Amino acid sequence: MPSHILIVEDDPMNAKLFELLLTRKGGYTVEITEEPPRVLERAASGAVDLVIMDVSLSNSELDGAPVDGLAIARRLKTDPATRHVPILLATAHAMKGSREKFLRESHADDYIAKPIVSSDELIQRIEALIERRSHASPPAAR
Amino acid sequence: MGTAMRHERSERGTPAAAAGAQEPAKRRHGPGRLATRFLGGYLLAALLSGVVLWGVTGYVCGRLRTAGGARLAQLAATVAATVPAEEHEALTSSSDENGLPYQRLRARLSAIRQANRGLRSVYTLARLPGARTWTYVLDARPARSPLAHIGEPYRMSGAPELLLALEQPVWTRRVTSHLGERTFSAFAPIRDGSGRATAVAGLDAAEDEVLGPERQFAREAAVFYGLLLVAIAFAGRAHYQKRRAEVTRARNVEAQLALHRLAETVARSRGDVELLRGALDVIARGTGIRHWVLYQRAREPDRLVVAATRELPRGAEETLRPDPPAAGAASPASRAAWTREPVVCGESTANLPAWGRGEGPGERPIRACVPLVDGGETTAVLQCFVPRGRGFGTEDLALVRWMASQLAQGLKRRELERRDQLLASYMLRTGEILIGADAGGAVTYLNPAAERALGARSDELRGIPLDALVQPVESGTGASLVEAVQRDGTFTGELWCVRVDGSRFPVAVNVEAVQDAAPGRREIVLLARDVTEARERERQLRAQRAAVETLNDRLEHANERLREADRMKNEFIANTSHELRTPLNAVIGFATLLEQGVHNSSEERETFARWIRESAEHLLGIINDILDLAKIEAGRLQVVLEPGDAAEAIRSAVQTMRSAAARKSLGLAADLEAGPLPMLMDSARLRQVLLNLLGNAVKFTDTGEVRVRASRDPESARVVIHVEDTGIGIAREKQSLLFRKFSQVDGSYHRRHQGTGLGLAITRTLVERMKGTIEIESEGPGRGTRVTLTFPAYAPAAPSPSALEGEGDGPGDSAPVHDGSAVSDRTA
Repeated sequence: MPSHILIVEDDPMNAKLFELLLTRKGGYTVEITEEPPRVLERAASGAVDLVIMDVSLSNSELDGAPVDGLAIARRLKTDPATRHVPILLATAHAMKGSREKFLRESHADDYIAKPIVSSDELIQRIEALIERRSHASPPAAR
Repeated sequence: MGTAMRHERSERGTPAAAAGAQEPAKRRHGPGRLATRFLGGYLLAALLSGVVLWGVTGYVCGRLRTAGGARLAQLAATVAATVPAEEHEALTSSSDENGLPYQRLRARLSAIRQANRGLRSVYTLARLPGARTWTYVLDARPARSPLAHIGEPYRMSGAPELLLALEQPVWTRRVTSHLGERTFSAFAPIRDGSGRATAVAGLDAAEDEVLGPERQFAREAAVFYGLLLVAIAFAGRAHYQKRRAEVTRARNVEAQLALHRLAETVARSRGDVELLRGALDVIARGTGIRHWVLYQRAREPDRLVVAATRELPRGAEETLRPDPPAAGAASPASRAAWTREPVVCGESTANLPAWGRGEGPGERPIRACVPLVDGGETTAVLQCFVPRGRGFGTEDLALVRWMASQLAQGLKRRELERRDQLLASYMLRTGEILIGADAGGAVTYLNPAAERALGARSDELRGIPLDALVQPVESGTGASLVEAVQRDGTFTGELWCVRVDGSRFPVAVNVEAVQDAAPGRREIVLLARDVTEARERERQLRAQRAAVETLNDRLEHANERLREADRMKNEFIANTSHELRTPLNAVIGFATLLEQGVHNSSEERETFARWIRESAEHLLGIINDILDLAKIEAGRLQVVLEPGDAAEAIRSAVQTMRSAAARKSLGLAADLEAGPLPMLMDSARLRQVLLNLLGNAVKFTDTGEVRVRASRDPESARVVIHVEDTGIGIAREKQSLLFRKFSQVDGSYHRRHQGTGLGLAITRTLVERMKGTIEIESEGPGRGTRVTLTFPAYAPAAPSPSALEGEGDGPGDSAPVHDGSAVSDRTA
């Protein structure tokens, strides 16, 4: 059964691109959302093997306040029910130091800068994260 | 004064010395000495008069005795004459005693004896020739005595006068044993017819018979002498009293004179040393004591310093040097200074100056020390050295104390006068304002500085209330300075001083209520300093400080702005990077999919190609914005103004935006005034501005509509364009940030809307280049936004276009200037 990936992305064109890349080149199943409650719910459901998280989210609100991808990731990583789900930050914020800053602030597992020049690398990263997670913690939620 | 001295003595334990000093004084000094002198004189007079009287009496008595003797001898001669020698010779034996001649002769003698009182016996003596012994012949003694018979030897036959009596009558004094009393005897020759004498007549008389007058005289002389002595004594006493009164008077006068001289000396002397020396001279003359030293008390350390000396040997200062005034001080002067009571002592020889021969007060002089006390504090000590023999008595001490107190007063007065003079001269010369007022606050005195400052003479202002001359700095407090000072006793602070002409100047004042002689009444003294200049300096200083602070603020502000600009620039770069990367991701991603041909249907391929193109166009828009901004920053943005129709530009822009609005299901409408809206414009730039504003409106509006309204305001002769939406609006506090370069209203990563934040900054710059204005209004978040543009309307008859020209870099004196390379590559 293919791994299921949750894509959190506000730009429809980029979301579409991720969907195409992941389904056609990686053979994953995907779902797309920019609604934070939905993200939390799906991650907690145990159906999601990995989250690809954009940082700048134009339309996302949680508990009545705008949130960015970093805040959602942090929320996922502090909740015991969702802590085990790997998160890959995929963002166009790619200034010097952004990677370290974002990983530190969000507790996300990995970071990849847009534009994604190599789709192969993206898939490799995803694979590695899923692999690591399945070894590190037994699939309790599965 | 006795109390103090006695007390002093008992305390010092030297009563012997002090008593020794005092006793001779009573005898010798002053009236006592005078009395002694007078007593001596009296004794001398008595002695002399006694001697004289004694001599005179002796002489007179001698004469009286001689006279008495002579009378006796004469009586003897009378007796002899009554005895006829022949008859007498015949009586040779005791048998003759019964004869008539004997009886007759004896009766004659008895008659003579009885006739002369005081005659003890009358007799005759005969000496036989060749015999040495005299024998009685006749004896006419009183009956009661044993009668000597004829031929009975005369007991004192050897007496030489008997032989002499044969020649002449003689007398002598002797003790006749048989009577046991002193007698005078006289003898006279009994001569016969031829003048020969063989017998003598004798008689014994009681001593009184001869000495009576003499003794009488002597008694009288003694009485006289006694009277004389009494007389002399009375005369002497009277004289003594007179003299004593004179002396006392003279002494008092002298003392008074001395005090006057002291006062004069103190008043007239020019220097302190002269003053003190003069004072010592006067005191010396007034007291008759020659050797003096005056110590003045110095502080820190507390000690007595020789201030002046009189008739003290050279270098005496070194010898004297008293120890510090203290309870057990060795030096009498220090003790006096400490106890503030006189000290008299005569035993110690310590610290005694060595006088030359005959100059000093002699061995072991008495030292008397009298403190000069001022306000309960010893300020100086007056010390004298008195010869031991002269003594130093209570009167001396009283006088010295008097002198000392006068000197102390004089010095004090002098000091006060000097201070008064100093103060007076200070008050006259100082620039400080001095105003005196009575207890009620009426001005009584102004010094010259006050007169100058107030612009009036002292007599013009005398009597007016002090409160009229000064005003509190904070007007309206209504507090009276006079009342405040009478209540608190003092006031220090700043006031206005009011000149006669009504103008005023700031003064720093110190006001005191000064206790007057009458209790309860307190005069007021106001000391003031004109602080106009100080105030001015303060003001300038404050201004300078304020200027520096402003400058600092500005610098700080500029710094802050620079930091802010830097921060925004970094943020801008980060955002620009993000905005460029996001479409690039799509471009690269879809291109990759196309290239790899993963399950591509032809429809899909077309979609991918379109998305790639749209993303690229989006990239181009961003790049253009950045370029525009770079031009603005570099000052190379070119705007070419030429007459045109704003309405046309608006319609074109609205047409362009229609599809975008339609995608969001927004209404897009243009309400335009009928006819053209002529204005000077760069049509491409105006279009850019409108597209930007419409783009924003569409971007920030989710429901409702976007509306453009344009009209010409005849009043201001401007074209007014409104771009309104029903979108999210802008919080008031953030509206001012909108036009700042690199500005983003919300800098966090959850921005709802994409964009570099450059649009409005560029827009405003363009509007301003076209002489227009731009304002953004919003009632707040969620209440929609209205952007208002105004531009000068263009009328052909309007002033020379050059006045309306955008960039002033051309010599434009005629029609619109086409200004070099219009840069915008953007096309509608």
